[in-house]
Amino acid sequence: MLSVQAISKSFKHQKAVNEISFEIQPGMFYGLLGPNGAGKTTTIQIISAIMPPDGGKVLIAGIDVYEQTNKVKMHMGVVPQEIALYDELNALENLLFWGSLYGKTGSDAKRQAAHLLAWVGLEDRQHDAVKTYSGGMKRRVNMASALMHNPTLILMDEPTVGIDPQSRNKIYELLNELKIQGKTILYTTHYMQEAEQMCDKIGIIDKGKIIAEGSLGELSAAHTVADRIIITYIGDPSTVISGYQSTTNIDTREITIVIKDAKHHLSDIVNKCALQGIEIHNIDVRHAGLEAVFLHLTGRQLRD
Amino acid sequence: MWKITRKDLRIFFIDKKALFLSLLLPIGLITLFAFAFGGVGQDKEEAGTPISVLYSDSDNSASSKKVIADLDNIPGIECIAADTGMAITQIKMGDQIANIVIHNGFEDALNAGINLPLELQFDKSREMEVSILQNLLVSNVAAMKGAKDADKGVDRIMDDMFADLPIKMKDSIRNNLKSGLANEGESEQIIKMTSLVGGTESNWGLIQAVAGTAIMMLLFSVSAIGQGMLDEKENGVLKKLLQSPIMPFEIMFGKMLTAIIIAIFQLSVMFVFSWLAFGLDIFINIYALLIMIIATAVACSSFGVFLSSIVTSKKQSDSLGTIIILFMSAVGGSMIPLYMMPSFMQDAAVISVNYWSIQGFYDIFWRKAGLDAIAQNVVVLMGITTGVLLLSAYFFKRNVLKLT
Repeated sequence: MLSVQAISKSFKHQKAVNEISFEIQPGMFYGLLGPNGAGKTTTIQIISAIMPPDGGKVLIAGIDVYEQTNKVKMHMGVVPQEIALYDELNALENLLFWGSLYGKTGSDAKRQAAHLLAWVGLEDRQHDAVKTYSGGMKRRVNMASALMHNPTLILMDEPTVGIDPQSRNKIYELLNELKIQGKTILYTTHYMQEAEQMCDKIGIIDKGKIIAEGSLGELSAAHTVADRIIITYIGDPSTVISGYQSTTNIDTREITIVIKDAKHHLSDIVNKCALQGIEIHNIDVRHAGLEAVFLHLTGRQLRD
Repeated sequence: MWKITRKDLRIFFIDKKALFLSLLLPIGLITLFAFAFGGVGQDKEEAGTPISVLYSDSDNSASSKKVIADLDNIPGIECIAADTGMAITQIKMGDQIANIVIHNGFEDALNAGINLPLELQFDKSREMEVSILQNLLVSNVAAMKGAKDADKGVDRIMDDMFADLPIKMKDSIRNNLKSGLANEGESEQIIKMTSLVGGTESNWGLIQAVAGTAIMMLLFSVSAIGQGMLDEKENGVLKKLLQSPIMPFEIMFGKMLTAIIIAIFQLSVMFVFSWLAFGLDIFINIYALLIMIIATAVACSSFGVFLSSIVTSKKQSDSLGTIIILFMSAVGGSMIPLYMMPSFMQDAAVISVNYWSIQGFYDIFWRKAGLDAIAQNVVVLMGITTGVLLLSAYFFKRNVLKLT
């Protein structure tokens, strides 16, 4: 469905995207995971035909997006990171406007807008100006406006940035429904959990390059990474647990033990703490995930 | 393109309060300036710019030549010989302010002490300059007429009453009396004043106020519409528009079409208000008025788009737009009538949209000219539009479409 072939883009001699390549099969939910400034948005802009790359090419259904731009755009829906809506217009008017740009007009457009507004749970507020909406509601309209022409490929650039957990969960529900409908989705995020929970395949991007790619299982297996046990304690700040390599943060009174297969070591660690007289306040076990993979690959945490 | 325009018009008309205020401000200013300009020139006594005046001397006598020569010698006055017919045309076209017509028999009438066949044909809209000219002309002619009348009166008195005095003494008294009498002013009207342009039913101050203010406010309105592009760039909407299957220049021309429609609406409201509130005869040549409104709207709208394309942020647009619009309005005659400005500024006025539009409206309302008279203004405005649009397209691509 989407084939990105060695695309590069530089701004003032700084490479924002450096020979990125990946393939997305029809119906796949592909996550592009990386920290801010990694090159995710630039990649989306290149794919969405508004920023020609310095090198490489992008094919959608075998068609070069910079050769038959308008034809390709008709099959592509873009949910930008920004709330790209007209605040003064209501949700229905916004949807009808964005639909009209794709030739969706008349009763067909109204039907589709009504369907999408119901889908995002805003049919009751459809006649209110968007400026009166909460951030989460705007995000949902933002998403609906990209689906007015029923695209087969959806590009989503961090669509959950800056919203509350409840609204984020609502968007996750919508994304799952799109996935069930068989839409092909390219989804950029810097939230590991989103990528872990929703994506069939994940590309980890850092400093303009894809440094690892695969399913969550494939990534974890390929980059043998350890779990983390974080113990919050009360008492002597300079406490260490004998027999385990650990780091202690005396300010927060946290001991972090990085270890593979944490659950097998947990009871032993608790026993040793009891023997050493360490009063445990809390134990948190964090299994190796994308965060650990990213840390393993870059030496930095994803949020850095 | 129409989809963009329809959406922008919806946004413009959606906020009724803002719409009302956007019309109220220019209406308020028009009212203010109409009252202010209504009295311009009545109390002024001097002009700051050289005045050129045509003259048609049919008498071609020593006296008529002296009248012209005396006037021409006054600093700041330049007399230019002209055929009467040509002079009338030039005044009607607004190229000249007045023509001094010295008819046959001027010298004879001067010698006979009867009414002088002297006429000043003028453009009433140039009230202040005409007033200065009239005073100077009256003063010169009165001095000549007074001298002639005094000569004859003194001669008669001397001959009748002091016939026996020695000749030397009689001459001395005669000269003193002539000199004193000749210097006395002439209160009676000795020049026939003929206004060739503008009647009592027209008020040039009102035309100046309506045209000048409406165009200045229009520039602010269309520049705000143009700024919408920058808003869209800053809030990500422009990017999303570009991601849709429309041509990038449809966005620019869509904005311009919105600006044109709103400008036509705004100008129409201003003229209808001026008709209802001040009695400006907007039906005097309705076709010419409509064409001039459309030409002005198109030129101003292209300028609004241009302003938004030469900058990269809304803040820049706010500052630069205000400076350029105020400068153009000042130079182009929106704020101050052109004739009150120095000649170099009057020459510079042609660079502004305001000048060509205001002069076009003057042609319609004051000179009561037809479509042919405003043709030049319309052509120039379209020329400005074309040039400005070409520049806008270049800068739009370079500044607005540039994504980082």
